[in-house]
This record gives sequence, structure tokens and C-alpha cells, in this order.
Amino acid sequence: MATAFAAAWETHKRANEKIAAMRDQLIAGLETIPHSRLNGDREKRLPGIVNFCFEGIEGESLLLHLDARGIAASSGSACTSGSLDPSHVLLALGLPHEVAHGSLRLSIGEENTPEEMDYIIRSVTEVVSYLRDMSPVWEGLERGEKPHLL
Amino acid sequence: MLYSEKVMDHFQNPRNVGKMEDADGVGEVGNAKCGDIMKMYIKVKDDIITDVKFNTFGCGSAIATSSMATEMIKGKSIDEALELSNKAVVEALDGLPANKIHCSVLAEEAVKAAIEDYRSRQQ
Repeated sequence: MATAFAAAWETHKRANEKIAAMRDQLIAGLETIPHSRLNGDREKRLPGIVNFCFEGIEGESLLLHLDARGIAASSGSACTSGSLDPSHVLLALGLPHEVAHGSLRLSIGEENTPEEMDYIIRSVTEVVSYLRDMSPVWEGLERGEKPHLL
Repeated sequence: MLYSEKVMDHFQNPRNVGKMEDADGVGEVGNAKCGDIMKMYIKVKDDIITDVKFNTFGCGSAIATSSMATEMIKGKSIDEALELSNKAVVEALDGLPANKIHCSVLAEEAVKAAIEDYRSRQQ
């Protein structure tokens, strides 16, 4: 019994290392997007979850565009929750409403590959830029009408 | 599927996206707390809306309703554009989920705000 558990634990640890490496690759890539923020602690986090906020855009739009590109993600945005409030967790972390509305949550599994991480980084970068170009909120931030929060 | 084909079309290929430096009327409605903000620009000549552009921060419905609303007022007279109802926008999009109807209301308000701004400049 103990042997079986030890073997299972080894497999689990190796899988987590592989997943954590892809997670870190994803974080490093998404962090290069300006005015973005990784939510939660960088080290003390689950191996397969990444949660980001991108200033000036709304989460559901980001999700729909990523879905069209074959990337399934989730968001803590109000629109995806069916209520008018964004993620209560992000709000509890102290993020203002506007920023919490622009959140993206990705979960990685063993079947994912580093190439897919690169594809996700490229896609998110493109979609965030596209949505910012059509966002009056982003325009206001860039013009200095309101200070950047991220 | 949550959204109709028309909504997805207007979301993925929004019409009249952009800004206008020399607009005759600009209307901005909504607030970031609710998660939807629409800014509409109109160009008016001889009482006809000759050009319209929009910028929107919001969900799929917000972008789709803004896009559809701009298409519906382009080329219309100011008075005709003022008659645009959110119901007409929703119908033109083949319907919206119940919790997204407020986006169409915002689109109607954006049109009215742009026209009000235009009118106030005429005084």
C-alpha cells in the first residue's frame, strides 16, 4: 500500500513540475503585456492556474475572441457570472471594479505543451491590443484622464 | 449557443469602430463598475448623420449592440435616429439573453447622448 502511494506521489510530483514549468512560461509571457497584473502570489500558487487582469478591457470579450482561436479560458467578469458584479475574490484582493472586469483565468494540464503556451501568449497579446484600440476606458487611461491602476 | 449568429457577427466584425477628431456630436454613457462603457461619435450635415463611429469597453453584447446601433442610425436624419429604441436593436440582432438586454439600452442611450451633444453645440 505504502509502495503504491509512494509511486503515485512520484508521478503526481513529476506531472506538477511539468505543469508548473508551463505555468511559469505562461506567466512570464503574459507579464510582458503592459498594464497587466498576475493575481495571487507568484510562488505560492497551484501548479496549473494562472489568473491575470488586463487594464482597460472587459473579460467576456477577451474570452470570446480566445475561444474563436481555439483557446478555452474563463473569466471572473460580471458578464460571465450572470450578475453585474465581477469576481468577489478579485474585489476582496483589493482590485477596483474596472480592473476586476478585465480578468482572465487559464488552467493548464499535463496534456498541454510549451508550444501551446506560446500560442496562448501570442493570442492574448493580440486580442488585448485589439480590444484596447476600441476601448474608451483605455483611451482615457492613455490620455492621462485617469491614472493607470496597473 | 448563448449568442445569435448576428450578435457573434457584430461582435467579431464590428462595424464603424473608431474615433473621430472632428465629430459634430460625442456621447459617452455607462460606467466601469457595471462593466460597459460606450462612446459614440457622429458627423452631421443638413440634419443627416453622415458618419458615425464607436468605441466600447464591454462584453460581447455591448460591442454587438454598439455596432448594430451605429449601422441603424447611419444615413438617417437626427429625428429618425432619436426614434431608435433598444428593442429595435435587439430585434435586429435576432435577440439577446435576458441579462444582456441592458447593453441594448446603453446603445440607445449612447445614440441619444451623441445627438444631445450635437444639439447643444448648435446653440
